Amino acid sequence: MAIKMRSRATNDGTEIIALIEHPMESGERVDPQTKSKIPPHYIQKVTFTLNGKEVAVFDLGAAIARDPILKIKLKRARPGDRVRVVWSDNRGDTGEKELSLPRRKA
Amino acid sequence: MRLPRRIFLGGVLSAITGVGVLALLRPSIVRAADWPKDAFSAKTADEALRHLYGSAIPASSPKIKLQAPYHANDGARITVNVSTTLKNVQAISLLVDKNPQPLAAHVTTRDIAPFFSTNIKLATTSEVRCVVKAGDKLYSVKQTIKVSAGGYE
Repeated sequence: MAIKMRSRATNDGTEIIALIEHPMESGERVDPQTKSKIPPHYIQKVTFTLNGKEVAVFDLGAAIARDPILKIKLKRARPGDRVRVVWSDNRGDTGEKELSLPRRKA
Repeated sequence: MRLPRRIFLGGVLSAITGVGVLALLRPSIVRAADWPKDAFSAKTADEALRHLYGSAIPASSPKIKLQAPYHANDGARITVNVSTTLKNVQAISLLVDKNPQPLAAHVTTRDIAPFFSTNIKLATTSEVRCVVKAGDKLYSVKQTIKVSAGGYE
């Protein structure tokens, strides 16, 4: 399950945009073929770090949509800084991705 | 041929240290146990808030901006942006009153601007609430989102 990350300069800081591919099954949906509920499978925790230091922790539930796009804004990010996102779900699966913030053009 | 002892010991120590380092590199897995399970399985928004924040009642605040559509055709994916001008923000929670489990997200803000965006599911037309803990006090704002087709799957 892939993660796509990018950054964007804004007035309130550097925006970090993370698309995390994940089914985010709530456990309520019924499989049309088997007629039984599809077991829950959703991200529970997403942690953002800046140069190894935790800056935000998202506790998520099944009410978050499939393939969620999470956005945060970093107050003190500088070009070359490393932003990492790590997620874990209710089954113990995990994923992570790191983004190096682009250096300014001279 | 017997391995020289120092090479054998060096290999064993490297293996042990390697495993130890791997455990340190994955703090999120180690801390999966502190996902607020009771808050997420609560059946009402008030119950979820009690599990997260105790018995304090949030005060309605004009300083929280909840940006979400007033009407969504598809309840399966609704983008919500949350921002606030309150100072010393510690946490922000997002709840959907009429969802089977109202708590959608709980963000602990350590060193970010008091803003986040995510996509939520709505089972049906419902009030969406945002609660902010700032300076050890609770504030909230809410907005109704009308849904044409429920999307809680």
